[in-house]
Amino acid sequence: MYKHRGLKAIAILTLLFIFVPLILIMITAFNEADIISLKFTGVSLKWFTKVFKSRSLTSALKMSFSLSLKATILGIFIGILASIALVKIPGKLSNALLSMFLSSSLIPGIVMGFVLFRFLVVKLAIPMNTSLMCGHLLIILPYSIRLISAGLKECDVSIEEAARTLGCKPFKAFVIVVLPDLKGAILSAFMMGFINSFNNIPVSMYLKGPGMNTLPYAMMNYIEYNYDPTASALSVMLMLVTVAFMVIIDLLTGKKSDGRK
Amino acid sequence: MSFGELKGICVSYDNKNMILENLDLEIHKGELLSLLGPSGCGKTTTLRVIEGLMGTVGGTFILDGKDMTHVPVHDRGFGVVFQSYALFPHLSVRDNIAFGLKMRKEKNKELINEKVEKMAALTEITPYLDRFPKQLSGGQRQRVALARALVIEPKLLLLDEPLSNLDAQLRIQMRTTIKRIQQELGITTIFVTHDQEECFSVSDRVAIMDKGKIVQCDTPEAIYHKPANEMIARFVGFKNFYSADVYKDLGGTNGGSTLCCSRPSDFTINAANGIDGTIEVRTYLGSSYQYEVNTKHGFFTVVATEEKVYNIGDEIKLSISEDKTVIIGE
Repeated sequence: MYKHRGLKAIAILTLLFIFVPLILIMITAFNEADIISLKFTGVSLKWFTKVFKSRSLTSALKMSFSLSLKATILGIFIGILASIALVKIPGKLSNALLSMFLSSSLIPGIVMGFVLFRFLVVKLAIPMNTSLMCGHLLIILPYSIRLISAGLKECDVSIEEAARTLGCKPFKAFVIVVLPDLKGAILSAFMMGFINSFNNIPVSMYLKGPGMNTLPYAMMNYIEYNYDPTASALSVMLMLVTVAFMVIIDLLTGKKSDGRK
Repeated sequence: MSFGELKGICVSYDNKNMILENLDLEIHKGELLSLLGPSGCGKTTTLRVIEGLMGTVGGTFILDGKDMTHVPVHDRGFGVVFQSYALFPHLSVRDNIAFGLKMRKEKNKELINEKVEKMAALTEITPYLDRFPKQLSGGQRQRVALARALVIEPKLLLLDEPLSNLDAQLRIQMRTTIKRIQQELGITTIFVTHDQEECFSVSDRVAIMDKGKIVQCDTPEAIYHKPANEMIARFVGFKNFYSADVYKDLGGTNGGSTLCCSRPSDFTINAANGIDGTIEVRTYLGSSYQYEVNTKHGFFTVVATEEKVYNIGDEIKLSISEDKTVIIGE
């Protein structure tokens, strides 16, 4: 349809803009040279092993993974409950509430981090770990509520009622009939939430306790004092994990489960 | 004592505006009872009260001698077919049908299979058992929904506008299927619809609803020949409404302040006495003509056979015999 040469050129340029830096990072990660450089001196996997030797990076990786996983699971759970309420009780109030739930995504992370620090840590003296979890929950909730409530709105209400007329109690009907229908929405909410929480720097910066680092923050620190391609190697691993993540989700929500061909 | 009975059912969202007001309805064993009425008349609400999906603010629902008013939906064990069919999208047709049996803690897989296949054969969906709902056409989904509702051997089968999502030809075919299955199983069925023809063709009895009340409940024949009020009369094809005085001019005897009505095909043209009129519009209906006749009492819609064709401007005499006129006491 759109066979204009200019359009094609713009498309190619955009793709290059996105992918060239990623490819450059990959090259540096496999380069033997001691500094991040495109001058290729030989293939080596030593930077990958160095990632696992660095205590600061591995502990940050563990911490980030566990923090984002817990916060995302909690966020999904809250998102499901909030979506049920928003969809089942329609009206002005629930529209207003939906906008409120989503508003935390509009506040700059640096502001949110600072406010949470002043309020949760300084004023209420809530432990750093809990505060950090709250901060990440706020990052995840907009995605979780937005995607799950949209999914729930598309669901046919009567399938839940049908299950009940066939002998299902209300809670069980929701779990075995409505939740499977929401699988796609929940998985995309999980992915969006997890990735955004995992990548976040500004909120973590304020709320992380002394001596604990989330991965993006630890990487930033590392690059500041080291010039070797360890960070590149770590980036390549994160890319692979992300791709694997997307493939798994695609397989789970893909063609087979809903019977389309 | 009837099989089932709704007594004084009241439904309201805010305790001020009643959606159903003191609704009484009797259900006979083995019949196909229709709830008929325009949208917003409360027929679907009545069905939801029976299903147990809608709470009431007053009244009782008794079925087979048991008070069902406060029995929760999942313990009622009625078969329900929803307007959207409400098939479970993530389950195959076989699992959709077996759902109710599994919820009843039926462990015997052979028995489940046997019941599912018997029901599939009855609803003619055996070739599609291993497909998913999205791979089926509207009519096939309808049959699956019917099989799923029937496999639990319910005391009541409840159908909410089951044909409204199908095209005209399929609708006629499906209503025959529903009637055939209903008769074969002898299952007491309540059928909600807004389509008069569809309703009269399959029902043993029809309850006509208007504004949250049942205005007439009788056999289709009785309603067709003796509608209880003007709304129902218009609904079943009466087009001419006139006072008792006009009725006298047409050849009737009944006096008083009653409202009379008659169908277009019930008039006699050019008998000995009657009202004089002029034909102003003529339309051909195939095997008969419809005339708009202008008289001193206003326009009458008259249908006559092809045997004698009248032209526009012809002067005629209109009369009607007493057994063809329905007198509504209003």
